[in-house]
Amino acid sequence: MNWIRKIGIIDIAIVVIVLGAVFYLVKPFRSRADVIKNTTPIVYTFETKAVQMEFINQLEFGIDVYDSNKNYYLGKIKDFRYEPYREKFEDKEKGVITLVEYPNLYTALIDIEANAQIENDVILVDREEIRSGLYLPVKGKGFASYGYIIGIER
Amino acid sequence: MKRKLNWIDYTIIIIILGVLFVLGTKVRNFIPQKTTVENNTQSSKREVVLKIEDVRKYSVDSIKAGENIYSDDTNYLFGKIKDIEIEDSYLILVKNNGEVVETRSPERYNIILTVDCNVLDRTNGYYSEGITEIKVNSTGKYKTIGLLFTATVQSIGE
Repeated sequence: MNWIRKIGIIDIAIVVIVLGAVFYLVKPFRSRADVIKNTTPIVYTFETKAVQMEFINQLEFGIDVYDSNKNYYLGKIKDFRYEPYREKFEDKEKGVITLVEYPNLYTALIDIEANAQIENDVILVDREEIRSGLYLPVKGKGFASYGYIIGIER
Repeated sequence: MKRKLNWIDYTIIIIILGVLFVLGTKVRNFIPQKTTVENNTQSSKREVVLKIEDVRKYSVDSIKAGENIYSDDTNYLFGKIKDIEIEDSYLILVKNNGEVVETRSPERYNIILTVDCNVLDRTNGYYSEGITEIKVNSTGKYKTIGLLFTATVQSIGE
């Protein structure tokens, strides 16, 4: 019984903190199993600007796309297209603002299809909340970029 | 025989006390503090006008009347969109000759949202659903089911 006396309050506190930390770390992984239930297929459009043709060449139908910071699964590429990259230009002679095209730079629009959980005014793909206006770092097999979600079909 | 505390034990005690202090502060912020002032507060329906400035067409297409708006900072309900008004966006431009002109911002729009809010009227301010602070001219991040946006409070209705 001597060993019981040796356990101080600090030892108990350490055990409690370690258990708390373990519970905190394990919780997100455990909740992932529930994500599969009640999903709805959605297609959303991701826009990335000022990319070169080498980037466009890496895009392929069916490639998996991930959030490159959090590594969340964002869906598969359903379709993609590109248009010339345009930037605002202030014409201070005429007093107008126009959009001018930049040579050899493109805006890529990537349609991503995914299964989403839609509830409580939130569209959730994996653990990412999908909304137009959300700035996302994305990566696929041979590409990575930043951009905004600009539309959701559901 | 009592074991003598060494510097590691003291460090652990300080860390634990620090953690308890931080947790205590957080918990206190969540518990509504009942004061005599708060007992006099009233909750009422008010129309709050939010303005989203100089955004692209996709933002216009992603927001609909009847949707709920949440504060992105507090993650609590802010209100329900009653009406949406769209107008062209104009920016100030100083020409080379010094003349100041208002010029059309190409392919950009302003969105004016009239939002029905359940507002708690406290002595120190207005709070939507008793949580999200509403102040005219303040800018905040908000979200609906389909759009994340930054907007400025234009007015708080009577």
